[in-house]
Amino acid sequence: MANGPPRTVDVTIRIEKAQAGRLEEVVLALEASGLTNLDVHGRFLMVSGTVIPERLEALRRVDGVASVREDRTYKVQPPRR
Amino acid sequence: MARPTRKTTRGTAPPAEPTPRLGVVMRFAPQAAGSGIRQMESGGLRVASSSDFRSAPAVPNDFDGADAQYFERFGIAIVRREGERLKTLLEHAMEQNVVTGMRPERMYRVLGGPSAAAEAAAGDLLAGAATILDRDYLRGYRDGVVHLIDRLLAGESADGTPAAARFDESSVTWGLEAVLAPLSPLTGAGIRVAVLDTGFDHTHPDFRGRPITKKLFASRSSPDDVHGHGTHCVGTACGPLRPAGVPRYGIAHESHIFAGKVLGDDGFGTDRSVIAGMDWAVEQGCQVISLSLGAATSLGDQPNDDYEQIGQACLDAGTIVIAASGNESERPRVIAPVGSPANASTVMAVGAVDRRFRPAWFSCGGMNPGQEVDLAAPGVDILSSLPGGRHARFQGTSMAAPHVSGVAALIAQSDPKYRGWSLWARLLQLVRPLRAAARDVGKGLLQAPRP
Repeated sequence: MANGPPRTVDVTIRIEKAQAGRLEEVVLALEASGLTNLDVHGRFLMVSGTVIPERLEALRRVDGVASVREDRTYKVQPPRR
Repeated sequence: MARPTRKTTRGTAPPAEPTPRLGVVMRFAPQAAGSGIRQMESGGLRVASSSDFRSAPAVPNDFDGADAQYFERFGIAIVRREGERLKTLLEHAMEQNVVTGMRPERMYRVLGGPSAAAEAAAGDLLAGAATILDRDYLRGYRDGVVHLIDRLLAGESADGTPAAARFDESSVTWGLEAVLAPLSPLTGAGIRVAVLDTGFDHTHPDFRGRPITKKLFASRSSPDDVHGHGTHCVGTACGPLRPAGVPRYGIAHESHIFAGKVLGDDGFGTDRSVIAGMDWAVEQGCQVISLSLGAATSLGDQPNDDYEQIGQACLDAGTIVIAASGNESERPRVIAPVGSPANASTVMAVGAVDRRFRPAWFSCGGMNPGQEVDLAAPGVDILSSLPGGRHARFQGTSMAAPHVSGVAALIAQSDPKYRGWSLWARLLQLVRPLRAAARDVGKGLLQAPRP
């Protein structure tokens, strides 16, 4: 019986400012914990990525991570006529 | 330069002095103070300089007997001696542009004092033991209230303008007129404005010849502005000085446009694309980021730590982030809290007002502590550009935010010191207070710098 591809969520990860010097290490640790499809924004100490929901806690436990939040959806503020 | 005055030693503290007679405060044109002082001295005035008292234990309130006191750092002088001779001297100085302004010297008094409760407990304030200061204050307050009521009854709104619609949009949109953009000679030249939205139609005839940089961040979308919203927002912030066939609708008409498509063709985007767009804008050296997008928040929500950090990094890098406060309200019944990312303290949240400067019915308010509206801008019946060479009227806090972004670009052009945190401060310094609650309009209405 074949399952479909695993469900994934897009996450926004905030790195603690004090860890700025260790950004590379933190990113490697996130990848090792299951984060894929990374966009690293060193200027903001933020990492966008994709992960299966079961790995969210593992990501939060990575040393240097301040928060892991599922991506929010934004919309135009809208053109109401 | 000013002659040094005689030195006096005054011991540990000067004796109590009688209140000095007040004089005239003069402002010198830059570089002209030296010749201005010389003119005063050759006119027979003794001029003391603030530098004369630098090492004195106290600066005498009567200038140690001089006729005028010159404050070199500020380029102003206070002249205490009167007479026809002085009047001629000053008129001459103004004609030559040595002196650019004059006003009477003011007496300042402390604003603190016994609490209002204590004063009220003193009984009949006007007839009782209240001091002269209390009576004057109360009379002034009463007169102010009476005047305000008279004006309201006569049909004016509280800020002094007639209640009926007073913008005719014959040459410029009401939004631009309300923020004083047409009065400004500034153009945004040399300033990079990033509008992160649904994209931008760079082929629109109104933008021919403008420097434009585009980048796609939204997933599963074309690179063009299919939705239209982005082109409308770019128009308000950066539209041309003389568009054909419509009133002027754009503020920073010589700015360099950076259109990051972070919202898809359907008008939706996620943190990934928004953050990537912001990082790009900072990397490209944009001084302003305009975000006419948001996600609703709820009462009781905590502030947005991610955008607090991102907003701070942007400000530190010399980029101000300006965002729409959100449209979830249905006033008067419901006032929704400021949405994300506008609710971050390091992101400037813009509320929308209508032609009468009242909060627009949809405009979110500062309902969650620390998640305030910072200022307000026109957001109802706003004409701007649409893809395909068209124009249309939209409403939303989406329309208010790019008014702020355009004015921010003007301020940034006026002086290279206005970047990031200092640009934020300057925007709020120029704001015009409104009668509406700060919860809804923040410090007040956006105003472009006056020439």
